[in-house]
Amino acid sequence: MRRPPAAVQMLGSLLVALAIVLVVVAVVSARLGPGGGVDREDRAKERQQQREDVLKEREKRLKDLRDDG
Amino acid sequence: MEQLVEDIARGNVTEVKAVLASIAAALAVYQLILIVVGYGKVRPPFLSAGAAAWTHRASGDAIVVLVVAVGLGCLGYFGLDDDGAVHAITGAALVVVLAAKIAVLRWFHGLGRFLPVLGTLVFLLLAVTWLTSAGHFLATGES
Repeated sequence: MRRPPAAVQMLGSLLVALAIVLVVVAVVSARLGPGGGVDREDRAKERQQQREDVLKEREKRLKDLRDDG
Repeated sequence: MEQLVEDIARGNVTEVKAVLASIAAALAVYQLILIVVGYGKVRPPFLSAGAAAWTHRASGDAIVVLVVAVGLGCLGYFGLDDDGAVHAITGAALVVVLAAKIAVLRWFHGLGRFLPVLGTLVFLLLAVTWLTSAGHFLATGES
């Protein structure tokens, strides 16, 4: 089998990379499902709650450390 | 910064991050195949070593952009917390090793013999960083 010209090889290998990108976007998007209707306020509340949980956990650890010391 | 990242991702920061990081991870697998051809370890009849090495560089440039974008977004939006220690360490190590690889490619040609080691390290760190964040999110739905 004769090797195609260098430009064709380069273009072909770049097209493979592009195909990989498209397949990944399709597969991951399908796995995630529709996300356009995400409620920002719900998300912000969730983040705030996570932060508060982390802070509480840290305070608890600090208190435990002080009690041990 | 947090608001900017959220605006760019239109409120779907974790999802956008998962898509971009997954593209980088998939391209990294392709990079391995390309560089095996580039070093002449495998000689397919349809792809020369030179063309494979050229695409390896082009695809690598795209991966760097993705890694930097995801890293900045991740740090700006999620910050550093105790739960993601492994992810934060591998992510930081990935940026350092990637920077070292680029430095060797651009300026320190004499250290070129370390490129395969650096490339393998970049791949492994990218894989672990992806697994501990996007992979975990895609598998369990928890960010």
